[in-house]
Amino acid sequence: MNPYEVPHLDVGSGKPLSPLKHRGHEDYYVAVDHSDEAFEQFKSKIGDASALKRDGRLVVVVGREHCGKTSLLNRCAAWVSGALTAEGNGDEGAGTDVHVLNLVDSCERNKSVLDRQQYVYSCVVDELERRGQLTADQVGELREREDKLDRGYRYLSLNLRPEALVVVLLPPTELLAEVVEYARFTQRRLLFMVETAEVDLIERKWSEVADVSRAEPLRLKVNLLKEGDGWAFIQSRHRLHPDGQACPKVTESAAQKVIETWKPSIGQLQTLLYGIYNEMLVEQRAEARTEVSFDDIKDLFFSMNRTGRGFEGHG
Amino acid sequence: MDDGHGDSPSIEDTNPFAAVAVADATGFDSDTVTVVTPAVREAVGLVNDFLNAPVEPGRPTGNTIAVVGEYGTGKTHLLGTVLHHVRVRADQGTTRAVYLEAEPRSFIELYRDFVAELELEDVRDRVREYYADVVADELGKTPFTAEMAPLVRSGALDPVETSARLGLAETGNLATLRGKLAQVTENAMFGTALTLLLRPGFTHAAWEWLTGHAPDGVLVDRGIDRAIDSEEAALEAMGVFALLHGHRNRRFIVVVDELNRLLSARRRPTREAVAAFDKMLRVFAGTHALLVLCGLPDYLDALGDNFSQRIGRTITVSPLDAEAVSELIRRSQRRIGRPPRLQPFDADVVRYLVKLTEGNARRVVLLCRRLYRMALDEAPEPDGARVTEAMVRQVARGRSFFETVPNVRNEIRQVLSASGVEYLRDRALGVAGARADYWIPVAGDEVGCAVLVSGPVLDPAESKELVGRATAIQAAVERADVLLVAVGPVHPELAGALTDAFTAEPIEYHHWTFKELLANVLGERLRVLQESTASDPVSIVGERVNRVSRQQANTQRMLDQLVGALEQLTSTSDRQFTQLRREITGLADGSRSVSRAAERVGGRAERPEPAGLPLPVAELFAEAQRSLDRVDHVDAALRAVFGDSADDPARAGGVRNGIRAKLRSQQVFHSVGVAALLHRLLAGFREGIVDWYRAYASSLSGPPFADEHERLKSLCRAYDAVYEYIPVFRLDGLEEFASSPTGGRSDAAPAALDHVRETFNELGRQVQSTVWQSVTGPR
Repeated sequence: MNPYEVPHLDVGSGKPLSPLKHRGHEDYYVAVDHSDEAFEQFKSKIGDASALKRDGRLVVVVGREHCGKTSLLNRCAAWVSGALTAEGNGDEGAGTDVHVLNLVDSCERNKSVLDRQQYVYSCVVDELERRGQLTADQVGELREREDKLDRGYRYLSLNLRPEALVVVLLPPTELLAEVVEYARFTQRRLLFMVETAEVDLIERKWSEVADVSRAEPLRLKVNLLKEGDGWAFIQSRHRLHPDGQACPKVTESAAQKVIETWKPSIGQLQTLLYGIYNEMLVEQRAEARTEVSFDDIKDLFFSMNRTGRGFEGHG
Repeated sequence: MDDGHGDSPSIEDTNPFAAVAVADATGFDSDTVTVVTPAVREAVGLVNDFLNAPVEPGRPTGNTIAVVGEYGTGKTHLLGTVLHHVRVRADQGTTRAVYLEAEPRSFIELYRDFVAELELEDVRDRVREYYADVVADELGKTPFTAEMAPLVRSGALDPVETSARLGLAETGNLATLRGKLAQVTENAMFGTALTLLLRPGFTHAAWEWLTGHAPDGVLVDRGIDRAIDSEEAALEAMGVFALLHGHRNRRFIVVVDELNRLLSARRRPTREAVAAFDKMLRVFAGTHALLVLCGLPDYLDALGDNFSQRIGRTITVSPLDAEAVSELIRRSQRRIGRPPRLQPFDADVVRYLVKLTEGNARRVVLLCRRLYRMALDEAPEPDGARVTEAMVRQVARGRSFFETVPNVRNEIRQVLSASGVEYLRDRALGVAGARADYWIPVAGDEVGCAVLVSGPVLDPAESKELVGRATAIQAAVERADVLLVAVGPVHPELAGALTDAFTAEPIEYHHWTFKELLANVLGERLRVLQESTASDPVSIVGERVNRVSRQQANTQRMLDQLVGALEQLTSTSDRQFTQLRREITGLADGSRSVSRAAERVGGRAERPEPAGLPLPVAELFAEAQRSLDRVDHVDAALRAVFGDSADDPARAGGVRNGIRAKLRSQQVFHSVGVAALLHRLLAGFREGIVDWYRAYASSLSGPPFADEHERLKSLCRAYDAVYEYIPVFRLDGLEEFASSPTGGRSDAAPAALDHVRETFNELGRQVQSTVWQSVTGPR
């Protein structure tokens, strides 16, 4: 078996881990590319459910493509859902009814900001209605505010049950204006989470986001792999797949050299290694060797490029 | 017996000279007759310099060439030669040439035509090249991927696909591309829009904006907040595409013809537009792009001195000399497979022709065509045909050769009305024999300006008569300035005598310049006359007040005419719509009949035949038919004899008598006969083209073969050959029917007849190019 496989996930397509859907995915997060630090930062800032219910929050994950932004978002959302619901957090947190609405794939980027926001809004209203969180009258009121979204979200916030917390995973964006708008829409009991690859833009203009937010917005950053990350990732995967011990293993020096000479993202490395093992298994070359060298990796990298196996998907 | 040359037109049938002496710059091929004049030689030389200059980064080869010349001197022909040369000589993979014909609208429209020529795929490929550099640079940064960089840069690997496949930082790379394009184009909006062309889902919104439309919401979100809808923006955009297409080892050539329609003394550009034009020239010069601007010399003046300093070279297209005309005749004969000889012309006639036309290439070709036909008609044997100087004069006087006097009178009236002067038509002044076609009094009948209108002035007798009239007018009144408007050529040897007798040089009619020239000359003469006669300042002021009042009144009349014209336009549009609907219904009916036929033979149509013509082609025939219908009211008149008035004996009798009176004139029969022939010629030509399409559709799909092109050309030549022999001027007699109370509209006026002539004159050429375009695509 390919040690880089992940249950319920087509690794080759670059899809992200999602412990929201599959709890087992939690084990596949590896402390690389600053993602653990970002996750810890999230937990410490968001951990207070009473603050969330009082002020709401906007969380923005920034990082270039394939650095694990969506995986981090999913992990954070899963944590909010599990931790706040099960354990509570102080008096206010106890009994929090968390509703995670994953709208990451709900609309395309080639729509105007207004169209995208109205679409997200209508999805939120529909889903909360379906979950019995809103009455028919409330839904009617919310529908009438579709062209005044700040008022719509305010109405929603005021009319959610006291124990409710709505977490909305927004579609990725590349526009500062869209991030700023969601900072404005943030209300009590509403946690908006969004990712963007516009790292420089967001860092440069972060004050515009902060200026319009009710509660301090949270910016989490993921990055390229750093020294030692490659080897940590490889070891972690081989540990998770003891049945893959029979497979030759990428050597530590090869892993280091890949990081040094390429400086890949976690997504790029995972897809590369997954593809290499697939290639070896298909050609039944795995048993013929005990380890995978840097040259093997580089040769197969070009071979993969020629045959079109790629690294597409969210970061 | 078939001699194997059944399709080749006989010598008598084929006139070696073009029916329409207006060049089609994009339609040049190796068959096109071209005389290598000094201007052509220089232009081709400059283009060769541009094509041969090594393309290296940081060493721009861009240039601007101005081509100027008077009407009919062969400017467009020169451009056609240049474009053909580029097609033949340049590497089509790396050289892109665009030809634009300016319309008298604005640079915005010119830009829209320009970008429509470029096409989305073409522009996107150029952006992709820029992106390939960005992605290759990114890959080159790490040893792991460096080996792939050259593959992407050279185009062996697509940069967009490679970026996705390798999971590169697309957002960062696109931002780099955006910045690079914004820097190159000096405009952030173009940087953004061009970058979006590479992103699936954004391409069409970006292209829509680039083609001049308002920005879609997704573009507004990205900072593109206004359309390319100002002259400055349009010119800037043209520069942007020059930069895009002059990238790497590519060369870009833009040819703008008839620039004087956009820029002239009357249509001066704004200061901002001149600045934008200037910037565009700098942009072209800074890359590997050649801009060729062509038009009347006017446009150079309109752009000012800065422009003249920026252009690399100004080529003046000179009149043809006798040697060039002889060469033209020889080459024209050779084109249709005859020996390259002068006959039926000779050297003396050629010299006379050059003198008479002042070497104007368009007039030379038109005269040659008519003279050739006349010489053949009058010779017992084709080999004995000779063109004489008398024939040249006769043809030059023909009403179909130059603009008609009535039309010119109409334009004179417009000039006089617009300038607000009071005038009298056909005014007798003083003694008998002194008559002015137009008299503009400055002080009653004693002081004023007279305008005489004549046809061509080709012999001393004609000149003498005009000199006599001018002299008589001057003798009849206290003071008169006399101007001569000549509709047709004035023989250069007679011009001196006319200038002496009249107050100024004869004003030769040219469609584009006439009104402006007449207004200027007339204004100057009236100013001088007024200053010389007005001793009393109060009366000068009084006259000027009166003139302003008349100008206001004329403006009101023009507004009324405009309203009328708009109403007529609406009605014309309705008619055209009805026609289109009829065509479409015809197509649908045809399809149904094909289906029914297929059902009859077993439910399978193996080879469906086209039931009609493509709309653009059908519209050419429909327009020709309409133009003829507008002057031919014979059917309506005859129907009236048997129509409603039959119930009213008195009225019916009146109608019958009216028709009988018209039929007493022999000219009516000529006219009706000519009209009938034109109807049949048109129908026959149309059927021929329908058959051509049918044969084309039943052959293999894909681009047409060379022999199909030949067959099409042969059909159009056949039409031209027959049409040439139909005396269209005889249609004049149809006016009899138009003036009848039952004759319907009174459109058989000279303007309507001229429209018939122009439409049928050009029909062959237009059908050929439109049909060919319909089967080969727009490029």
